[in-house]
Amino acid sequence: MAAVSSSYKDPNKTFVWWIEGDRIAIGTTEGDGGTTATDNGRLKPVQLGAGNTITDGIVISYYAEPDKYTALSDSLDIDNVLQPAIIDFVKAKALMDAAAKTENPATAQIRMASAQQCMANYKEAVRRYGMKKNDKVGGTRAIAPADLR
Amino acid sequence: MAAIEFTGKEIFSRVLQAVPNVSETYVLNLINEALIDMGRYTNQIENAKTDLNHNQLWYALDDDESITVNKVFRCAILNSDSEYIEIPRLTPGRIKQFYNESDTATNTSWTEV
Repeated sequence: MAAVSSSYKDPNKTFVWWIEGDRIAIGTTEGDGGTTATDNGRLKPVQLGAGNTITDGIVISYYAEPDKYTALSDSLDIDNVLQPAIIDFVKAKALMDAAAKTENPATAQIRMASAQQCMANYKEAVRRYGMKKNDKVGGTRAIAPADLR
Repeated sequence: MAAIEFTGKEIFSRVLQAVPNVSETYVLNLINEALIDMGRYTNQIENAKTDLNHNQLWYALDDDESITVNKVFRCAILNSDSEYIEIPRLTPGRIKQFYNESDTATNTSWTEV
């Protein structure tokens, strides 16, 4: 593949993106695809000339999943304010499994109660306050009233 | 460097207090289960780039790629001044001509930025 420079002056006017399943589509009205449905002005894939490519031509921003954790000595790929929630989750699941294995009903009940408390802590930390906990916006806000003149 | 940065060892020791005799592998698997569950929420924002290829409409985002995408919320294209310009999202999510590119995954290679 041959690398070419971008000749697009303002891609905001001629490019679009959308998602379908596990794929992102990049379409443009620039260039001529050589058919009635893909001529200049109609949406189609980018036309750069056969075998040509614009190196690092696309940048996407996305909500990501944390990386897989492979060794206990590593740090977790998640904001540190959310890391205590991991302890709650792991304890909850471990206590549930331990409760299922025990033959003493009283012990099982205590473990289940502890597990439910840990899971409740986890849910509150992540599902209710996850985004608020690690968002970096702070301070007081000022509201600029609209000029109605 | 954050003041508090947990490693698996610390999580393991905390779990041992509640449930003695659990193995490290078991805790490691549970940590990954927690991370998968956390990944469903909008906690982590990342950016990635890839090449823009001639006549390629689709770019793969599946789990086999080097990035793990939950939801894309912004896309930008390199312009002639070497700037990345945000482009709009097409609401109907389809165009007139049908494009089926079966080798999308092999033609896409993302790099986290």
